[in-house]
Amino acid sequence: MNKICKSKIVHVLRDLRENMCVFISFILAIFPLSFVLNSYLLAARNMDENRGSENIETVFLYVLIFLLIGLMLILIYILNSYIKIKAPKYSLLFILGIKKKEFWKILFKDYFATSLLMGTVSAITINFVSFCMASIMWNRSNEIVLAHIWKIYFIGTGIVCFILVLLIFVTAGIVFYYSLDKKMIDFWENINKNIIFEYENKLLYYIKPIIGIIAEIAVLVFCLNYKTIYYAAILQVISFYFIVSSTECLRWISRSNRKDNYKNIISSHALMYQYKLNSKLIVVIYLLSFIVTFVIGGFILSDLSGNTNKNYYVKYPYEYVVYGERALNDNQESYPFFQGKTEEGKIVAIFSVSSYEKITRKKFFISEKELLYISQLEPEEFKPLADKQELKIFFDKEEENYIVKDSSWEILFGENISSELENILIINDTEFESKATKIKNLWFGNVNKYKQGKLLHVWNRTEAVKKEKDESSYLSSLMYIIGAFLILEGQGIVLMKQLVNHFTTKRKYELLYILGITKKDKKKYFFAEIRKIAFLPTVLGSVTGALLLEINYFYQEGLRGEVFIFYTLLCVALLLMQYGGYYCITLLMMKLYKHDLGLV
Amino acid sequence: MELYTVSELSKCYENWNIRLRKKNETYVIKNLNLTINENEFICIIGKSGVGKTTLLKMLGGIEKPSGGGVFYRNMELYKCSEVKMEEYRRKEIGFIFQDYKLLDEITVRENILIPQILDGAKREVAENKMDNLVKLLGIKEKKFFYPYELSGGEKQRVAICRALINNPNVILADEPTGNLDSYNTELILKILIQIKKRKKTIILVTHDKEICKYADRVIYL
Repeated sequence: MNKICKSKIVHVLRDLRENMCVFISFILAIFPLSFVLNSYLLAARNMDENRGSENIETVFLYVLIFLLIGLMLILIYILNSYIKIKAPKYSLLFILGIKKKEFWKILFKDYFATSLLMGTVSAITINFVSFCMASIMWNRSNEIVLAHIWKIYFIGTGIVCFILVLLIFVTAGIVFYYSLDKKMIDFWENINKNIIFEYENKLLYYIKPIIGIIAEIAVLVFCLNYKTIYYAAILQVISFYFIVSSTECLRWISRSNRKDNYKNIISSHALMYQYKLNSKLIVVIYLLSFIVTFVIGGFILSDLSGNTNKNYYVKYPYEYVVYGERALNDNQESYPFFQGKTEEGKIVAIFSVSSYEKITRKKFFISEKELLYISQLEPEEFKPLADKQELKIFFDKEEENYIVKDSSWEILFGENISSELENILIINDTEFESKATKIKNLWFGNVNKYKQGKLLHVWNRTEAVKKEKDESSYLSSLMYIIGAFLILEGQGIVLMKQLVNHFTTKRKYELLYILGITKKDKKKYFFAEIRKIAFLPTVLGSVTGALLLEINYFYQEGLRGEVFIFYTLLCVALLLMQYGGYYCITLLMMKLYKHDLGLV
Repeated sequence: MELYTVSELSKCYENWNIRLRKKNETYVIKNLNLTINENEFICIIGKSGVGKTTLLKMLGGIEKPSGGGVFYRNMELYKCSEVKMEEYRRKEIGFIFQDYKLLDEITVRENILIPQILDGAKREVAENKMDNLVKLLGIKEKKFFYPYELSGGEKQRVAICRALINNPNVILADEPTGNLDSYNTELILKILIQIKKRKKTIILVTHDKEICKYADRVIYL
């Protein structure tokens, strides 16, 4: 029994060593997900009481959802490649007449046990590392409640492991489903067959380029309005996929490439053949560089363009904002308000029109059953009620329907001071007196007269700006780290794919060697191939991502010159770094081919 | 006139015996001496594993011997520079394989053009040579087909075109008829004889004694 267990462990360990590349890809794929998840959990658990952190929490949530979808696709791709590595062995087993029952046992040992072990080991270790990193970084700007740490760590590890195990089950399920009604020999033989020679559905053959072109036109249309830029971004990735996987488009590109220079025959056939063979890989690389420039770059840009003192003075016009149930000493300068709720459950601070006139120093008339709705939040939400004519307000004990006289975005005394003061309603003075219960008082100014107390909340601009700057730098560092890992992920996947395809491409280089290819030409073809397979989609992804992001900024607020130059330089630097990585991969592959041909 | 001189040629493969924990040395060719003249049709025959293909590879400059030397027109192969070896393989040798070794991703025309591209030939010259060869070997109408659309005999004729396009002096054929039926075997052999008439040297490896009757000289390994 002991011997059997030992041999099983040895088998799994040997598999691990053989598939080190898959293991590294796992680690690289899990890290960004695990890192953002831990950061999100830390933000959600520790920042309940802290004002202003909801933004960070929301940002994490969006990034998390985006990464989750993207990285799930990448993980499925890695697991599929892992199955492909094993496919020749399985087809041989069926040729030799293995029983299906025996085969499932082997598949379980080979794929299931190894990938589960690889997945869980990498998930646990990476989650630990990313948790420590996230905690250290978070601790720089906010204090962590120690009691929560272990809980968060175990929840994070649990979620990451669950996602991974689920994906392993899903890919195994897909293999099982597709192999059900097919002959197993054909199934496993076809997995490794060059898909370029597969019969392609006539309908798909013509529909794919049409969808690609229509999607590209739609991208251009969506670019005309900044509100639809995000749809344009999603459609851009979809259009790229359809064009890249369309045989007709590739044939056309490849033919025109060959016509120009017949010497391109050897390298240009790589374009069509490799794009057909690696269409998923190409889309994954495109997607990764698109995420880096569009999503991560977006955060960096918004951080750079929003972090000026001028912006803070617009957002927070007063040094101190004091509010609470306690009566304030200086009654002449304080403004009474009370709380209500809209039908959507939004908390609103209700002020009288006379207070509003005093705050804004301008005359305003409002009759009974009418209201003015002011949102102190984001300027993009210019019409916070989206042209709503009527609004039902819930007071302490009663409810009332009001006609909306106007709604707008306006900063009266400061954005993001408290959730109670984000949305403001202005009503008639008589109505204010009749509805008001539990009145609170608000005061703002540049010299403080009050101290923080049980019934009094004192908000200070200097402290809030410092905290916001800290959080913003924390967020940017996070984004830089995630961006770096996404780039590494792309490199890891290219290396893995090169190794998976090694046996098919080796044939070609072996033949070229026999036919007397020169060292210079061999190097040229190697680099031409990696440039077309890996670097071209990287450049396209980066350029489209950067363009869409800049269009978005151009519409919304405009980009400051220095920020634009910094962002462009950053994109160029990232592309150069990635080219360096692909260069190293090519050198490594050249060495491997040289070794395989017995030239070392 | 002597084209090849092979002296004391040996090839030994080393492998690690895991069970005995020591290095194993297996000699496939040991101290072989041989001369091959220009414009000769030579058949190398022998059982499996005697080193026929290895010898062909060593003559073709793609497998380094463990001992001895191969001289081509008094130039010792494997002792000259890498650039010279590349040139030798590109200009002097034409290879024909049992499994054709055609690239499935490109058309027949493009497969044939590869050696010309590697040699840096001009497009018009290369296309002319290719057109003449496909006409000569009867595969003109298959020019734009992909290799997977051809029969075994047609594939081998494409491989022969590729081997001839750079006008080499020597044709090295490794069991070129091994995968073919009797009709195609005869056709390919007739083509090889035609090639020989153009003052080429043909070295053919086979285990089929029937083929030897076409040869000027038979070498038994």
